[in-house]
Amino acid sequence: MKNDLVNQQQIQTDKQQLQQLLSVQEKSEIDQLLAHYPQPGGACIDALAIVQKYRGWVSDQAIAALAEHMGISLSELESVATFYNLIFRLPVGRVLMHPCNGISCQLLGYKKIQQQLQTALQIQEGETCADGQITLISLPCLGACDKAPVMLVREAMVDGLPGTSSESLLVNLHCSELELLLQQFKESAV
Amino acid sequence: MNVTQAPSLPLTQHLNLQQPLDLSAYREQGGYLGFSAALEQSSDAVLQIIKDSNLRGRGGAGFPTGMKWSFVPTVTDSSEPRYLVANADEMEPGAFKDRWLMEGAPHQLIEGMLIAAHTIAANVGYIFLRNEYTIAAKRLQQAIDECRSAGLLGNNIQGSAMNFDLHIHTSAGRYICGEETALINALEGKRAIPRAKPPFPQVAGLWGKPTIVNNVETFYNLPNIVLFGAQWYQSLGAHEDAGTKIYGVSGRVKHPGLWELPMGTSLREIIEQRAGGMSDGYQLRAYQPGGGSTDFLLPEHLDTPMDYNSISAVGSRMGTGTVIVLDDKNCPIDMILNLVSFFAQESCGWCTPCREGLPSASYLLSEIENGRGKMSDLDYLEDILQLVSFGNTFCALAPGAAEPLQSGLKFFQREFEQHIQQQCCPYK
Amino acid sequence: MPEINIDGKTYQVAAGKNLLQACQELKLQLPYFCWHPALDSVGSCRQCAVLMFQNDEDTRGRITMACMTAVADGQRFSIEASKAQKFRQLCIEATMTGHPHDCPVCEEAGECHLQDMTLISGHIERRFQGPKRTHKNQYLGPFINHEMNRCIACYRCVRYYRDYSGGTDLNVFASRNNVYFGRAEAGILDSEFSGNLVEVCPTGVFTDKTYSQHYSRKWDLQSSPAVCVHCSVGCNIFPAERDGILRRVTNRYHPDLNGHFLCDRGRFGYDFVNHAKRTEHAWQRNNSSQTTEQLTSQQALDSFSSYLGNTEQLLAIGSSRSSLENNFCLQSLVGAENFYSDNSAQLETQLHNLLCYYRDIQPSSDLKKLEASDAVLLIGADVTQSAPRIALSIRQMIKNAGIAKAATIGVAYWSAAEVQNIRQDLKSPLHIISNHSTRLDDVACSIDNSHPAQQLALINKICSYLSEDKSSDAEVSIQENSIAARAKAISQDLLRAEKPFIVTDIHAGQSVELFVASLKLSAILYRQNKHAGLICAVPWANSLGLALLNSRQQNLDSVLQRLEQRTVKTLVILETDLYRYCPTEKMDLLLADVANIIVLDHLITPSAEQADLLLPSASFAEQHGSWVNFEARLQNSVKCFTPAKQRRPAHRWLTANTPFHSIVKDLSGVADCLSDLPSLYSIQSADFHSARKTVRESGRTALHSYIDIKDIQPEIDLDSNYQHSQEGVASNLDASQSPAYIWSPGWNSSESLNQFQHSVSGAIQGAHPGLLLFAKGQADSTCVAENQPADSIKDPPADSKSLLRALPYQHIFADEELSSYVANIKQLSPTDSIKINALQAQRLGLVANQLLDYCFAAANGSLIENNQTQRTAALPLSIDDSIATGVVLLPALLLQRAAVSGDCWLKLAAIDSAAEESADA
Ligand SMILES: Cc1cc2nc3c(=O)[nH]c(=O)nc-3n(C[C@H](O)[C@H](O)[C@H](O)COP(=O)(O)O)c2cc1C
Ligand code: SF4
Ligand code: FES
Repeated sequence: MKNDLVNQQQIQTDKQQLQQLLSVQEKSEIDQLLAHYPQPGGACIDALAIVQKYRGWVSDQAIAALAEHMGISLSELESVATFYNLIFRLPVGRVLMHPCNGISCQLLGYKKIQQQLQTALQIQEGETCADGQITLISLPCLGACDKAPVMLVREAMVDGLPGTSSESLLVNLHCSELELLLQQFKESAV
Repeated sequence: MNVTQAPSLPLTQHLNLQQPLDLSAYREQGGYLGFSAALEQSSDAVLQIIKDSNLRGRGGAGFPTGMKWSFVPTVTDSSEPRYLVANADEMEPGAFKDRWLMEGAPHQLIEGMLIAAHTIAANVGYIFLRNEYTIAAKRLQQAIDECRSAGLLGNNIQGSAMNFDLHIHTSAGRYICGEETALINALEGKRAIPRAKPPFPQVAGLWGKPTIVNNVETFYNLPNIVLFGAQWYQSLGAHEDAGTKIYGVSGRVKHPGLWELPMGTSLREIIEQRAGGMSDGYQLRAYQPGGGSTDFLLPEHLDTPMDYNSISAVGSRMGTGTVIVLDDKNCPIDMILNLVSFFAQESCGWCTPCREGLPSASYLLSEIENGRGKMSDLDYLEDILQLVSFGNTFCALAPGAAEPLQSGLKFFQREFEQHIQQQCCPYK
Repeated sequence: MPEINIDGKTYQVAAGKNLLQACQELKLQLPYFCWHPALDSVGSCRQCAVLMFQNDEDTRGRITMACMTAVADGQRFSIEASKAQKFRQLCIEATMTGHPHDCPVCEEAGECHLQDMTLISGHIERRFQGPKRTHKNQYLGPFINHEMNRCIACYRCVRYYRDYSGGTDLNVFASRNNVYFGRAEAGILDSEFSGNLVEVCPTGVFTDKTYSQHYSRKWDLQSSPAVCVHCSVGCNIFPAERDGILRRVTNRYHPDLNGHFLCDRGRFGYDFVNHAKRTEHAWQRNNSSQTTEQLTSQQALDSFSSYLGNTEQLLAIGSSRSSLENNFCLQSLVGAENFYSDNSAQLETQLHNLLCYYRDIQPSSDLKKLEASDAVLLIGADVTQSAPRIALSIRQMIKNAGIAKAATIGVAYWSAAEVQNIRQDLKSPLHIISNHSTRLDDVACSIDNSHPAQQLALINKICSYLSEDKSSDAEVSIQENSIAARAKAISQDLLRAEKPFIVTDIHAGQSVELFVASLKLSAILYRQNKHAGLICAVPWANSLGLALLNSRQQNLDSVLQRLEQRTVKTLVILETDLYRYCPTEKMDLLLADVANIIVLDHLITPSAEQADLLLPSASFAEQHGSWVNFEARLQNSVKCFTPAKQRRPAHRWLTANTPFHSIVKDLSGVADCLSDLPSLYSIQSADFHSARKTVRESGRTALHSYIDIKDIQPEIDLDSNYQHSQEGVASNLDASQSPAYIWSPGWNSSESLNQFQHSVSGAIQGAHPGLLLFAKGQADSTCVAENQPADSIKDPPADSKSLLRALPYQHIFADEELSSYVANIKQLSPTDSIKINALQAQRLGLVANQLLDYCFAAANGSLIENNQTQRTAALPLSIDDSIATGVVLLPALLLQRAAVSGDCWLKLAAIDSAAEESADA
């Protein structure tokens, strides 16, 4: 209820709790950012990226805390957050697998790779596997068309994917072993 | 060190993808001499060189760079900031040239930006970098740090009155961010919705201040133009346009990749010689000469020189100069579907034709591709093309999406009819 | 005037506008969605496409958006060209691909801009067979429904809510064809102007929830050109009725006042008309039998005149919320010597000061001029709470610096997004001097929340800077942030401005010294700059009208005195509730000794419950009447529907059978300035009538068929040219009388306004702008000094340490009497609390949320016995650091009830919680 006293108290304590939700590290990085911008709203995207860097995604609570910390309205921050593809407002796995669905990669076999990954991980596009480790999100042209088809895994560009028949390799993947397994995945393709 | 010998590959002379040159190595090879030369001249003089060189922007539209800069109002209040932005968002399907340049020679981008900053009296610069380009981000940051410590960035650069600092802004991912006014909104921390022009960014851009946005590759041209002059630069071109250009080929060719070639090199040379022609067992069906938002061309157009006017003359666009090749075993409709759905996905949602028209087109294409098409769908698609054609939408995203669709409907009419008559995709 | 050619015809159009505006003024049919006359152009919907030709030879032309094209001499366009037509058709086809086509169950249907535009565009066949996108809806509070699936993504809602009204909790989320317009999470919309979304949205995404509760199609409604009664702005409205129930209120465009927008109190506060506590019949109390009996109208009239037979010890109280006519009839009936206002002495004086000021010194200003101002000093008023529409105008004025800046690089004011980009955070200066934070703080460039004494010092200092000439610039170093420094900054802004404005208000409990000082400041400013303006809100809808009548300035303080002295035998109360001005117990006592209490009202107020004779009056919607707003603009409000049961306009009870026109004529003789009053009411004519109902009205004859299948004849209105039926001149057919509703062929929504205007910001054809009572003949402003303002504010009486200066805090949904009867409004009114700053609380040993007891101190320092019982009076403490030390804020109504004349002081004490608990046990 507008201006209601009880609610105001509630909001006050919520605000305090929210503030505590951000880590000292996050806050200091965000504060540094804020200093660069003529208006706090300007730092929206970068601040969201900082929160995501530490948490993998931006939860409802985190975005509320961030809005509070930056002194902008939640709706303004949410409006920006939901506009961009790479700000995740739903939980994602520790490892993001981004096969490229750009046209060059499609011409050279993206669909098959996506199919393989879906079967291997037993998830659909956009989902996270049951153990919460891997999320599959195809991205548009990753700018490595000369090596198509490619896939971005944890910031690493993986190429030479086609021809791999070993779908099973990806079953029960564990994060720590992921890079190694990908290596094998590639090698087995040769 | 004094460099007298003009390079034959001015864009890639310093390129090293394994280990890009650091500041001292870059300097040893003649780096930052172009900037020093610029700094010794008045900004008007540098502007004149760039105008004379006939350099055209490499971001897709080919707008003359010198002319663009000349719209920036003269400085009346030196405390008022002015901005310079390198557009490194590169999300055009099939384009991968800017990444290559930035990973291979980060200092050349900074040098190019310094020259531009001096010319338009910008004091803050941004590199608007695609999120996925993490290697480029690291290398650029390193180069920026080196420059800061060496006094190439910051206040009183090289003892002059010039102040210029440079930041990397990492995008949160959206094709529309490449559109220069949407990019400016993204830099302001807003939703990347394009702005109406006029006012042009040169007059009221970032934070309402004068702003120049150029493509990454455009900046790579600058150091040598300043160093070796407009005439030299003009002489590099093989046909009408000046300079060299990064051309690329992807798809089922023997050697996909990127090459710096004289502006106006023929498509045949690029596809057949540089990329080694089609992979064994594949025939060339068609190709997009300048990335995903350009009209298809056919094998019969292979002898066209790749420069702005020549490519327009045969009905397509130079775009990014990165060719996407369609072979005879991939379904052309599937290819168009991929492109149109990409653009529909990436629509910012601001204007109606793009927001609602592209998804309808994408839906119709997928119906056709999946064997559920009707002949009347083709008329509907033609209508949607009219809806999203250039000038009808708020920005150039949707008209870009229309290009492969319109040329596709023309060149692949038989395939469309086959799909509809047989109610299946004959390529599957 | 540029000359342009459209489809082969040459037109003269106004310079500086865009082509869409020009087409509207020429009444050319061009569809649009994202453009709105108050929100201007952004070019997103692409629906207003026309063909533009380069030159005379050009035959192909190119598509361009009319709303984004500035008109210039010699241009050639085509609306009808098949290429343009086809494009508009394709565009709306695309728009409709995701639309649910749920018109039969949609409340917007029949007055939907989307329906109209679809027709104008000529799209008739749906080709798209794919799935439609769907969304979840949100709860947005008691006023507004949300149905996102109907959205056509024109972005008007967010542009209105954020850019125009300054709201922050509504936005657009996601992107592409998945854009979502709503809140970040479900919840009550925060803006006091959220109701305008209903009219701004061109389709049924945001609809009026209060209307849903008794929904009727537009074509079954009966409406009239009326005036809002919920504050002193006097916004123009269309109340709309069906079958005796007031169904809704929508905006009626007035170019100088409300423009396109109302506040939520005005739009949603109407349900008191349908309240269960409406008076229906005349009642008389029979003290001997301890019963109340229902009277016939004739009995009631007889009884009334027998009560008034004896004028000895007669006292009648008029009403600030009732019409001029009603008040006048009461005054004539009882005699001016027995007539009192429902204002405190303090308010009454201030109102008269203001009237004199308008008459002698500076004419009043309207909101359109305020919106065009380039610097505003707001003194003492939290206008968003007291006269909300004024605040919305201040928010527009803030943008003028940016519009001016944009103009320097050739960007027109109507280029909304571009102006905003150029403007960034550049603001025209708004300075606020107030007791506490206000809802306009977010756009202010300086805020001074301090003790009234300090505020007064600041204002006096500004006055001295303003009256000194430029030489004072040289003044030696002023300490930063000192009163002098702040005064200097403010006065510089006021002097630099072309059209500076002072905005203030008169409200109960406010410091009179500040008000007087504000007037003086305004006078000084006006003397130097004739474009300077003054906006002064007053308490209620007809406060100034009542003050005009009440030249003897007999006020509520004397009423209370006379009641205390037991010198009242017969008390007539017209449409006001005395319990709002006095603690309940005290009032009960005072009234107990009055022999005859006669109440005329339309609600059973606590006062009405005390009546010996209760006469049911008509609400604003059921009577003709005139009202004088804050700027002394006299406006008439036309009856929407005939009062049911025994209800009748108060003036009809008071004068029995005097025709309304005679009343108006008599009234016009009361004061010079009222002489034009009859012109507001057009002459009765036998053969000219405007219909209150739409030509399509479908249900009139069926309405009462469950009672009688015979057609019931519509009521005849003897007092006006408006018919209670669809017979007569339809709204769009005559330009000599204000239409009773807005509807034009092909234009079914409120956007049809453009069909009634000569220019995009012009008045509705035939609508009377009202009479500005003091617009003409300004005397020379030499008498500024007459009301010499005080140099200081009175110190607290005697025991100053523990006494705090009590000041009111206002609230849009709490303070106004009529709207507070409406459940939805009540729901949004805050719980009462006592507010002081943290430091003060610490000094007094109080903590937040603690229950506090309080008592008032009289001017001599003695504590006034708290008349309300201690338990109910206790209020929780809330901390607000914008409040100065030495000041305590109380809810406005509570302070008004304290009925302490003059300044008010308060002593706070914590309620002993131990005692409390034992009491509970
Ligand atoms: C939808 C859209 C996407 C674009 N993406 C890019 C891009 O990724 N990189 C780029 O340099 N230019 C892009 N452009 C072109 C820019 O708007 C702009 O014209 C260019 O950066 C100017 O640089 P130039 O003058 O150096 O060519 C895009 C344009 C549109 C309409
Ligand atoms: S909700 Fe209404 S106003 Fe907002 S974009 Fe949708 S249709 Fe337009
Ligand atoms: S009204 Fe012109 S584009 Fe929407």
